[in-house]
Amino acid sequence: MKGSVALSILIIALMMVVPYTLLKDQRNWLLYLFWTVTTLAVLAIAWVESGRWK
Amino acid sequence: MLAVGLFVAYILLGTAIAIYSRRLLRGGEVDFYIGSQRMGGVVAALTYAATTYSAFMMVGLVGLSYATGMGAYGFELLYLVATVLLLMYFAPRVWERAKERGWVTPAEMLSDHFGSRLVGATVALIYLISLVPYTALQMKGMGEIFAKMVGGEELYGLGVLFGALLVLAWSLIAGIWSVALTDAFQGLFMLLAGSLYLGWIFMLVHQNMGLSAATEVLAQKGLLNMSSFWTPHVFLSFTLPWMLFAMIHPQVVQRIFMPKDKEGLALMLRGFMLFGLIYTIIAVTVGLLARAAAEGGLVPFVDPRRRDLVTPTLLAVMNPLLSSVIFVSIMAAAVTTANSIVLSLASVVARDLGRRLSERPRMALGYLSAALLVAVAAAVAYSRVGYIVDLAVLTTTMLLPLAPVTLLAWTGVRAPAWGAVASMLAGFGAVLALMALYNKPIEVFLLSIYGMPSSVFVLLISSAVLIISVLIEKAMSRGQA
Repeated sequence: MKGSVALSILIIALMMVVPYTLLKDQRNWLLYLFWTVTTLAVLAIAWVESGRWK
Repeated sequence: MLAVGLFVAYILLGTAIAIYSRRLLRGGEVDFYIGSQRMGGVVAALTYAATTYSAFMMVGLVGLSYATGMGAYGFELLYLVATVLLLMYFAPRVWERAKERGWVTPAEMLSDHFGSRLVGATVALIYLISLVPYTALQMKGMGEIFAKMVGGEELYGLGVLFGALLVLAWSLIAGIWSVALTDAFQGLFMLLAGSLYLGWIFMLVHQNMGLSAATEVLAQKGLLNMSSFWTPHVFLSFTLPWMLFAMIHPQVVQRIFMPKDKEGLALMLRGFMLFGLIYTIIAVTVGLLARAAAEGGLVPFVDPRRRDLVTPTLLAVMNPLLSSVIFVSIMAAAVTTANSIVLSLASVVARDLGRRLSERPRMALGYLSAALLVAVAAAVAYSRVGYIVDLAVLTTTMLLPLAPVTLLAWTGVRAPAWGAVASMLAGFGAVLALMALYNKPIEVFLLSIYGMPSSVFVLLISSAVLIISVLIEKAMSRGQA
């Protein structure tokens, strides 16, 4: 669980920082794609973790 | 007329479901407010999602995306992932403790943890003051959409009235059972209507200007990255209060108590997150494509400063059947959120403020407070205060002082009850003081204080008071030893 939480927090931090740094001057849908993929990653982590609730 | 017909059908079907749900009601307060922890995972997921995602999505978020671009997507997705993270880590232990300790309201949870009813009473008062704007926001959405679809600004008040009556009726017919079952039906309808909305705007843009041209238009306007609107300060100001939504809004905290077992709880989380992702993608993509369509002359241009009118304007130019379906789905989104808040607040008033009464008068108190809250929220909605998004974020800012004490309760860390009360009152007082001092109280969450968003400032004050109280308590116990 702790690893999953740490990884999720790291992804959330990236979701906040990357738009102002690496993806600052986009003229396409790359930011849209980035946020969708990072969100899916956190959801996948939660899906796996919740499967362990007994 | 089509819209009116569909709206009437929606009211009849929803009311039939609410009446049917009385069969599930066993009687007693615990069953009325949280279903005695007997709720299945699918219904729990749909009611969690429908409660969370309100008229804000198809009115406020579509407009925000249209006006400010891609940043709106990040704002809403950060809310989703933060909620998922909080639920993933805390929901199982909160659910277990709720079952073990017999919690019905989040205020009871905090009273129990801190060992003082004063804590619950303080929480109840903060809920009552803070959640009026959020409930009013739902009714404002209902009024605006109703007026646009049925034919004239003068019908705005009638839309608010219809909404208020529906909220009250579906909350009280069978308590959480009528709320949850009507939420489930409406949640599915919201997804269907949202998908049709996206399909319509996508086809319109694809066939008449092409996606490359739409992308070029959006890029020229700077809407595909963090536009000038989404400065880091504004982004944090919008995002931070929402990231803590799952631990400070009573209507969602209470839903953690409801599933019948941990498998149901897991299903609730999974269903909610899938719903949230799909619904967010729909709302933001509609807003962005609508802006491209407006810039390309395919739909009437709405001034971005009047962003809440984007969806009503689009509904007015699309196929009447489609617009009627979307219109009803927005009403549904508003009703599902508002009735959950109303029922949650009724439970808080009855159980946390009316604790000394016996069960029967407590139930009457719950009914009365629900009616009063709906009336006040309808009156605020009727006066049309503020932007929809701003109203929503304002509520969450006002609830932020509850975050530190809730975190302690969820992690099992002890603190003195007087410290918990002082922490909440200090943070809440700070929000009220900022509102009083700032010339635009409704936008107080956008303020910068010593370079930080006001939400951070409020959290720091509440946390500092709580930490100081723990240190004083420790020092005093050492002194006694």
